[in-house]
Amino acid sequence: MAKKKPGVDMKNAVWVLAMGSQLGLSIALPVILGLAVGYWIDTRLHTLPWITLLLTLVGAISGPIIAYRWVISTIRKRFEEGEES
Amino acid sequence: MKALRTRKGCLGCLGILLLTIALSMAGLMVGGVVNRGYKMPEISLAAEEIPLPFVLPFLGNSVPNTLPATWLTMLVLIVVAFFATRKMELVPPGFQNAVETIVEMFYNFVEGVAGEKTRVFFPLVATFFFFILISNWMGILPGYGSFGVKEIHEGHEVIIPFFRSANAHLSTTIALAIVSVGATQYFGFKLLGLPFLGRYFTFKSSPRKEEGEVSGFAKLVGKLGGFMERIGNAFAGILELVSEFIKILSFSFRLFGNIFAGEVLLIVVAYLAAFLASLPFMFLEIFVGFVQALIFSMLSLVFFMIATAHHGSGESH
Repeated sequence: MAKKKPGVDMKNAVWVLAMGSQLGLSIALPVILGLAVGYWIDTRLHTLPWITLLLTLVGAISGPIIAYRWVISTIRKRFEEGEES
Repeated sequence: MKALRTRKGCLGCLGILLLTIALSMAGLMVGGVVNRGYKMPEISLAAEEIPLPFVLPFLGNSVPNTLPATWLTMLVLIVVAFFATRKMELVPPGFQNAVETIVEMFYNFVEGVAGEKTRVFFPLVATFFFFILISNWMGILPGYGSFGVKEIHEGHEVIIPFFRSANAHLSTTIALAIVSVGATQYFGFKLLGLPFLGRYFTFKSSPRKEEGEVSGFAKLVGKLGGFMERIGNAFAGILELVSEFIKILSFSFRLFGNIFAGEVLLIVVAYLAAFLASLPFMFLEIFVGFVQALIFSMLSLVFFMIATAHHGSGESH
């Protein structure tokens, strides 16, 4: 494939870039989503700190889990592709 | 890249770089002296509303100023597509050739990721790519953000520009993200059929091995384990469902954040130093716009691929 030194494959570069940015956001955003939804429910029910705290915690726990599952499935897909070609 | 190999080319590139930096610094100095009395323009996170002299149905008497920019982008894309395909020839002349080259380049890029499903995914992914790319690049044209009507707002006069880079409005990027995530579901149903729903609502446990005779206690433990696994799978399905919403948010916030930050950067630099200093930042914006368009289309493609993959045991450990 490569003659002298392996050049940067455009596809792989973009893939890594996309994975990286999506990974960071998918850990960070569930916390914010939990916070926002919790605050909205709390202002409706007048129970201010509790549901916000609970949903923020749930978001903070589920973010890394979502990121982990996503990375595992994406990488598995990628390796299957590599075996085919 | 070949020019960088030779000594002369290397020196030339370095010279151009140094000249650009020197001109920028000169611009900073001159600008600092000349427009001392300038006041900063208003930077608003939300898109400004252009007042209209008449009332539109559903919209009221104002439209956000990203709307004309979006239409302009669509107009450019439609006009280019129309003139490129008006007289199709097998051996394409000039303009058609150029457009075909660009589209083919992107087609090869998509084909490297999607393989045999390219023909299904390419139209949507290419639409995302070209729309975002053209609207990002048009956002740094002169006239965007500087050409508009004056209006009194909270006591002082502000300019409401007619155009604002289309992706610097959260509604545009959320719309794009919803189309992308919705298309993921559509392609999943189209290529996998009803088993696609198994991604979100799973209550199955993994098939257990036939072990013939097992004593009562081991059987009970096995059943309990199976039950726990069902609960775990159901929870994973809910997580999958939540991650679709996270996807909408992350797609839209990334694009909006990058493009809006670029707009603010250009405005600030342009008002800090009037001449030439914003040139390097314009190159940065061109690069960022290109990379964001690529990332958006690439991520959509990756999610389409995951959604349409046949995974019987995809969630096993």
